[in-house]
Amino acid sequence: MFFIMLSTIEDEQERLRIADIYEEYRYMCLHRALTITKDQQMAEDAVGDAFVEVIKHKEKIFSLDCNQLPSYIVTITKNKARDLLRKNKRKSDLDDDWENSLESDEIPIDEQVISKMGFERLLNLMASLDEKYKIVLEMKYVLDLSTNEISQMLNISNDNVKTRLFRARTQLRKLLGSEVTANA
Amino acid sequence: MPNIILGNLENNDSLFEAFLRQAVIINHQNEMAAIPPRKELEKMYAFSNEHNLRMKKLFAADKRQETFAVVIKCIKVAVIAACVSATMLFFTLLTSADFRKAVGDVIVTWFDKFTEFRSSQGSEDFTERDWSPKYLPEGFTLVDTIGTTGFMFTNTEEVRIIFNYKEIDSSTSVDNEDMKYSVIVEDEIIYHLFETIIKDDKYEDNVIVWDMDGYRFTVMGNYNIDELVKIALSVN
Repeated sequence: MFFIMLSTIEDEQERLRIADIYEEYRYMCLHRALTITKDQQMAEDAVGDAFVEVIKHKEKIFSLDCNQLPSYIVTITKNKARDLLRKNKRKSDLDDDWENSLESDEIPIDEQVISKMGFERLLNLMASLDEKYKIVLEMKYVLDLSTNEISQMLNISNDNVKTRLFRARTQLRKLLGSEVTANA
Repeated sequence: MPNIILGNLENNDSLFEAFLRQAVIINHQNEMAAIPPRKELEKMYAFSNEHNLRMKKLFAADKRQETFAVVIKCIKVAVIAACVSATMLFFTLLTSADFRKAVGDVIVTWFDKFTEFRSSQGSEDFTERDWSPKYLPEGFTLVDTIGTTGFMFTNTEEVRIIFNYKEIDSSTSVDNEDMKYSVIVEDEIIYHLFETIIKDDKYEDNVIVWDMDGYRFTVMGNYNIDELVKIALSVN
């Protein structure tokens, strides 16, 4: 009986923590989702879906510090917003741009050219990177998630995660190279 | 501004990877910093009633799922505790020499259609003896011997009962197809009963197997199992 009571108290505490996290970050998530969906209802749905994921991965959530937690939740929300947008769109223009520009998966040139200002250019290119690739990059580099963890969060296969990471890198390198070439 | 050409692809990969990591982190930080503070957001936006209701249900469902999970967890703990207790009791009983003798001497192996009895150890107390049942059901008489350690009894209806014994070193197999298995323990001896479930079949025998004093005994016959048990118990 004591064990049941203890477990119930512990789970009740966890539930309250999740509710507190929701209260703390729901507007932030809504704001971020709106920048993607441009639609209030879709953005709200994205927030709801994001917190379904938060509940599923609450052990991970509770292990994060106060700096990582907002990043984690916002990244999940962005992913859900993007998923909802894709479902509602017949064809994603953003996807077309990136998919069509990927002519080859090979690293194309013999020598890589990185300008002294390359980092700033890379940063600028990051801002315009497709959300699909940005989300996996953020999960990898900002949230330090493993490929397995990313695949569970995004409900895609490990191979899919690796492909997205590879394509994001390849595309950025190509664009970086072509930018430098154009400026030369 | 001159470009820096890095001829080694591996170095390029490492440098690009380092740049990319930093660019992703900084870009994310910039995005997060661009989000207005909470108080301002609360003035800018309002959640719909539908959304608030959905979230309320979500947390309620989570609570129900958690309660269910707790109940399942407790049941599992109780089952594990019961199994551990039973195992501990079993091993405690094994400290008793009599229990060990009753349980540990015979290895019973169940196969698809037969059961094999083997001894786990040799017969330490073995002394050569002659055995015979002291009880026979009414109307049964000895009609034949089977070697030096087997007896066949029949009655006027030509129902046959066989009593047999041999040293415990060898194995004994019993047909277990269409048989109901049970066990009787009497005077620290385990009697293994195989009773046919096919009634009124004069070709199916009931069988009793037990070990005692270095010997393995068998009583079998197409006859009432209780009577066969009496025969077995009368052997000394």
